[in-house]
Amino acid sequence: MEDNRKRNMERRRETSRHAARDRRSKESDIFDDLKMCVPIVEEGTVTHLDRIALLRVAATICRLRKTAGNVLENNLDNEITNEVWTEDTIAECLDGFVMIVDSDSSILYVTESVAMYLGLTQTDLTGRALRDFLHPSDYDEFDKQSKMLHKPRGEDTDTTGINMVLRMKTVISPRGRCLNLKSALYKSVSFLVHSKVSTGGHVSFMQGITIPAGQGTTNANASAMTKYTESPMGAFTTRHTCDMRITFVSDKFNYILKSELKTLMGTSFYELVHPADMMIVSKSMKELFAKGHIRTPYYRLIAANDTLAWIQTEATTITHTTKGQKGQYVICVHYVLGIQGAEESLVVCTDSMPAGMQVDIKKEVDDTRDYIGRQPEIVECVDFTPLIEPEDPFDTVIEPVVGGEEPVKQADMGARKNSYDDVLQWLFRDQPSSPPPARYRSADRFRTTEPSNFGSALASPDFMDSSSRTSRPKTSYGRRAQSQGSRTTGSSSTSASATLPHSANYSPLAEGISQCGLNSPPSIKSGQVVYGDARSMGRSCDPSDSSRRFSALSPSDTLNVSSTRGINPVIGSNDVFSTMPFADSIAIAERIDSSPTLTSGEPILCDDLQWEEPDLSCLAPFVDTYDMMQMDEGLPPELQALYDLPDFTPAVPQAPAARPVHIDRSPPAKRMHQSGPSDLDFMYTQHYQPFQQDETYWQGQQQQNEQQPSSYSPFPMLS
Amino acid sequence: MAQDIFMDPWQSATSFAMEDEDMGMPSGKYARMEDEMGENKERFARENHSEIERRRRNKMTHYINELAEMVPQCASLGRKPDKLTILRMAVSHMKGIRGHTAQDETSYKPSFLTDQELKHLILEAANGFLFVVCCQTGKVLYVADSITPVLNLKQEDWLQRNLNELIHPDDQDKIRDQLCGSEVSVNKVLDLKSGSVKREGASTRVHMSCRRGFICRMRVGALEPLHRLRNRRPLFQHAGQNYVVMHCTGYIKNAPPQGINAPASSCLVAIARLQVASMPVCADPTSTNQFSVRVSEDGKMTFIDARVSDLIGLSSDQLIGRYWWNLAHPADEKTLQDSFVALLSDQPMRINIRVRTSTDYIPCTVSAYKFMNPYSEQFEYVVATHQIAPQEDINNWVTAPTVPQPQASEFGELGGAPSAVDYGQSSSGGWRPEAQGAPQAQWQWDPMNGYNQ
Repeated sequence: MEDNRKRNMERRRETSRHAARDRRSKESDIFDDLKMCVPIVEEGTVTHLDRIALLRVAATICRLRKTAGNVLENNLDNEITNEVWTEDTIAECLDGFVMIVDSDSSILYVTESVAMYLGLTQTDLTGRALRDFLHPSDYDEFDKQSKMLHKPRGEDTDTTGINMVLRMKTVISPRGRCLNLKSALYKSVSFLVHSKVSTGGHVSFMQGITIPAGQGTTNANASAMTKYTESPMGAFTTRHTCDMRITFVSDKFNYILKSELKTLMGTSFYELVHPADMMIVSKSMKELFAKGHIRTPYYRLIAANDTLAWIQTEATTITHTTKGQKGQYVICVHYVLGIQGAEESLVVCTDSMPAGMQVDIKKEVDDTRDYIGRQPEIVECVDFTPLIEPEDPFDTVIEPVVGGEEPVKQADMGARKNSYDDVLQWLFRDQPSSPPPARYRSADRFRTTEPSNFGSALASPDFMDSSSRTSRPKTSYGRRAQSQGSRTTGSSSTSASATLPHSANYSPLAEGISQCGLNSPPSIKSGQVVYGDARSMGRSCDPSDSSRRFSALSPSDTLNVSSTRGINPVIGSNDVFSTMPFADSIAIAERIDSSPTLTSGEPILCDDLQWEEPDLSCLAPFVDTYDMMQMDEGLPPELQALYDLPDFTPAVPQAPAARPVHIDRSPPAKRMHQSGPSDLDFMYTQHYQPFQQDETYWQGQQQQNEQQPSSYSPFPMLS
Repeated sequence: MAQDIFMDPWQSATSFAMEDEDMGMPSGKYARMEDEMGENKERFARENHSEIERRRRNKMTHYINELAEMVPQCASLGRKPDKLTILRMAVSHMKGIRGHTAQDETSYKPSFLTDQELKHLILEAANGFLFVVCCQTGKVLYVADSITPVLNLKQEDWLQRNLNELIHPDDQDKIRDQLCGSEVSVNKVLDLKSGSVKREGASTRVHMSCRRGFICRMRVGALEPLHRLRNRRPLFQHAGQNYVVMHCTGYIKNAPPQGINAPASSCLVAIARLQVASMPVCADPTSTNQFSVRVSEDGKMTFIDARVSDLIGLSSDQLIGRYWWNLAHPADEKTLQDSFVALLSDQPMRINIRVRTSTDYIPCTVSAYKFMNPYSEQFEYVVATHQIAPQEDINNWVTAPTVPQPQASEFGELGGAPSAVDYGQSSSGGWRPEAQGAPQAQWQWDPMNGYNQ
């Protein structure tokens, strides 16, 4: 009995085993068939590639055909040249990937190139929920936004689309390491999302733009971008603190935005944005701090000469560690789309009158016929050397400050580059990520410092002379700070120092200079002559604002500028404010320095200038900030005469006091390439060089530079 | 492939069901685990594993069911067929799809979309079209017909023409760089330190050498059919032509792609995309008569739209640095100032006032918001938009018989004196009109009692 049952069972097991084997082989055959006709990526998949994946892809293909088949139908011609349109071509061409996403957020299609950007393959993604690959908070946004795009059937389909920045998972680290899907990183991808009505409801066409995965950090990428793209592409890199104060700007970009040689360093980027576009930028910036990387819509920057620069910006926050200090800053790559006159950008076209003139296509066809006969223009490519911005912001930051041993003459030219570095380092070291400290008045700050002994001669002509040599500012500081007490009258101190009755008021500033000069790195500001621009002075009467700005600037910055400022003749401005006496030059300096100038005056060639007008900054020290405010508002013109004391004007333009401010007109390349910072060295050694020695050198330099201006065309492409 | 280790779900299901029954009777390889802990561990492991298997089976069934839904043959069957039938039908369905692009079996590579569909996808998703330009001559060798919906130009408008003619003159330098096809020039990199041109070493990334990406302005055809472009900015004009911003990305190929009849030379294969969504809407009909002003914390104007000179006849140079409320009619000055103060304490602002023009006052709606630094949440400035009331409204306002035309406005060209100088001189002293002197009735101030008195 038992045996019988056992045998029976064994037989049944045997049959079922056979049946199962048979079924499995059939199944395996059909899966093989399926595999033949399903596009599946076998390499580099993150998910396990098994029959489930195969089924998933197969189901997705069928779904794509069923629910989204209609949106892929088109009435474009079937061209002969259609072979050009292969997926490979498209993958190569696009700087990102394209997805079709169903209304339930499952990915119906994604280009194979997605593997280049996220590390996830087509097979990994198709048929899965987009939600699984998005940052949780971004999915909600995507869901909300794409729902808004959905329009009921029959209405005009959306043709504009919306831009969204979504963080997607990537399984390739910035350094190129492969990660598990579970430990995937998030990467910001800029998407352009279109919604289409499909048979199955709605599908979203998503075009994502991002950088290839594993190609280094965003920082390195931005640096490479700059190297390759600066100027030829009209792309410019700037660097900002988190509150968007500019800590690096290339000369060319600076020139586009300010035709003067006034640096934008320290300026708030928001001051440059056209107010009408402020909302867009503000929204993008908020997104930036949330997501780490964004691509803005087009917006306008207020550029020089009453123009507006249309810009698209790609901004990235960088967490930055140098010397154990952690900080965050923002790197922006600005693509200049074009520069328009302020009026032109406002031209409106209506139905009846499309913008500008009607384009006559017929006529162009005729042109073509004419053109065919002609010899095609040969674009010479071989000998082309790309115009590359001769400065690398990223290199310069890392470079240590060298207390160079070079002769002073070399250091003169190199001082500027060096100070760029220093300012950047200083900014990041001291205020890397925190918002600027609470407001305080700059004057108060300096008042609290102990009184100094050598303030009296600070604004003396010595000072003018030395800092009139714009490219060797630090040297002059150090020298000034150390030698001022003894050097009451130099060869040139004929006018101003003798006529400074209130010079005691100024001593805190001198103290500040001496301190800053010794303790803080040299700064860029001193290297550039800031024009006494009437507008900026007028606008500078903004105490609270400026005090905040001040905090973002190094003390040496402001002081440097103030000193530089001090010797600039204010030229040819008929604005009332230009003839107003101003408060202490700290205030002036910082304001001039930080407020963007809206005038678009031509850069003034100072080499030709004589002392025609009184130097206002010589007057400035007498007036307190508070006083200035009052005077600014209420000073009658008659009273101004009181301040225009003739004594203040250097009477005779004699050398060297009368030597005008010299601006380094050499091309930026030239300026940047000189190196050899010996300023600090100079100061510490307390070595005083006779001024005349520098002078002779300087004159030679001047002559040399005088030949430059005509060739100085910082950005011919956009002019 | 992973399939080899794949266990049939049905089989595994049965085997696990059997094992479940055997629970508690350690046998076989588990026999050596004898203590309680071992048993627990073993049970957990089994449960865990069976859970995994169950999930896998569920997934499998899910996708097979989905296939059954999506494959038309299955759907038309009426009843739910078994697994193998579903799979067979799916295979035949997909072979049918492939049948559209009949190609020989050997070189066939399955793909989601046909080439034609890809073209459409690029057009729809990216607003883009493909083009091929010869690097040596700059001549357009190929342009897709999807250029028409994007730029409203015909293929013939592009084919065989020099790319330089099709883009904005200011961008031609940019393009010339991008067309540098030969690797020699591309691999040369200006050394930033020494200023010398060097050959880039191993550090060059592959994609850098042949990939191209640039933004340029391309000529656009008549804007009429491209209705969505009309109110978008920026739109550039040059010599009577309109240009729109196009994002071009592509790569340099050593020979023209297949299907293009052109002499062998390197060429740029690129997709040009029109990013309408990035272009701000600027031209809604009301925006023509509005201008924006940036006001600093102390109420001074720090920037004014250049449009202001068209709208109220005062140049921005004249106005910058003045108090914002100086722009208003003396009687409205207080209102504006008060709402500015209110705005600073976070109250939204939208008021109707009259603003100065060079000769007159015109009604205007002012809306403003406070711009806070997105990072530090500190106050940056106030952005105010001034919407000048439409002309007909102005007439309604002004035609009131009691309204005297303000004659002594400093902005005017009265007295033949250079107005700019006038303006500047007075501004230091009493530019701010002494509105107190004017009667409260808004329009009945005495012109004789001029502001400069």
